[in-house]
Amino acid sequence: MKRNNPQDQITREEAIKKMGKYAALTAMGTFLILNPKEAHASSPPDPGGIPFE
Amino acid sequence: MKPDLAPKYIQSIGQSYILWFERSNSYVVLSNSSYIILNHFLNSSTFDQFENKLTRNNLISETSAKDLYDELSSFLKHTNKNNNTQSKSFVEKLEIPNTELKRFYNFGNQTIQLNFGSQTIEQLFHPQLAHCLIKNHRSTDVVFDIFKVGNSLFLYKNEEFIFSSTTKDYYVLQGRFALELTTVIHKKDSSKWLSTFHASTICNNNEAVMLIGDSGNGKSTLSALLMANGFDLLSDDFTPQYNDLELYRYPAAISIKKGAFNIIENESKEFKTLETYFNGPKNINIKYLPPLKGFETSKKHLPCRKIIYVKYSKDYNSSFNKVSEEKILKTLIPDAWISPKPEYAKQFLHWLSDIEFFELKYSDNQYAVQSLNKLISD
Repeated sequence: MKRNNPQDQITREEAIKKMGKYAALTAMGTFLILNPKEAHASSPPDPGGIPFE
Repeated sequence: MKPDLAPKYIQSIGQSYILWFERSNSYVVLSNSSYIILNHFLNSSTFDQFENKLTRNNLISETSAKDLYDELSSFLKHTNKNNNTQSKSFVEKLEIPNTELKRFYNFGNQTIQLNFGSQTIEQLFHPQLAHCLIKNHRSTDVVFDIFKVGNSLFLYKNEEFIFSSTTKDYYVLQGRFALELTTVIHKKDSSKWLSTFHASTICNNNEAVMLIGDSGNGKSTLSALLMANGFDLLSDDFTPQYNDLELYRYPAAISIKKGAFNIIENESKEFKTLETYFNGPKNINIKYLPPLKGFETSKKHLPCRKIIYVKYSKDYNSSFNKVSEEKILKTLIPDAWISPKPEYAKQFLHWLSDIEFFELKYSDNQYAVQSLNKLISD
């Protein structure tokens, strides 16, 4: 497996941040672990706030 | 060999492999080279075997084989963890409260009655469907009751309990209601939905194109623009897919927030005349733009082979390009409900393998409309 040149390397934390919240960084490369929602998809709470509060 | 850890289904899509793990209902996207390494891991009983396979195939230096082995072990432990945390709480049969807030709606040849426990609840469900409201009706096909008891909201259908959520998670109940209503108006079996996507979908007579993107990316505004330019709106915000793999019409109006009022007013004369609603305690202004075509006369369901990730920014140089499956899937899947039934996960993967993925970044509305015109007429 190819290794990056030392000057190209960034820290593991920086790399994970760059790749987004679903990516896992390993010696193997990157892969995405994606979990669908357990509830039916709809928009997240309204920008108007929670109506019952 | 580690058959217990192997994914249940594997599908090659573009440059990637996508794996499905039954216990966690997880989808994992891998590159070809990572997939080969994973297979060596699954086909090895011991670390030594794994290391030998990698060395023989020139895949890695010996020093990192241990890291790989440990990482794959932990990754597969994670994806094989039982993720079924949904506890089916027993709900005692509640007395459905009487209410004066009864509304009747027409969808094709069906009349649906919605009984709302309060005006606050009514505001969560009625404005999107107000264009289907009817005054006179002969009989009602289905009655939904939505009411609040304590800090919970309840959804009943023909006096049978369907679903409940906390008032804080009211949008989860909105999603469930949308699916129940879709089931009724299309006369489908509620257990046979494959997935529901957080997407707006436009169509012509032959095909549907799904628009996805994070909330605030401009999916609804773009849908309204496209509708004003001759496209049919199959659904806004909530796109259901049945086990025939087609996307189904959800005839709710498009919700447009105040920031986009000007854009839509330039394209649609009627928009100015629509009522403005004030949502939530913060009184956010919203208008609901109904679909142009009535439910009865429009196409009820269509195949979809194109998904577009959309993002609006006034600073963009507009562009419309094909993108990698990875880019689309990382927005599509975490924002969707996908049935955890194995046969449906298999169908979902099969459907994905036939999809073309695009990205539309735009600052110019005409550019966006022209791009879609070209795509959907090709």
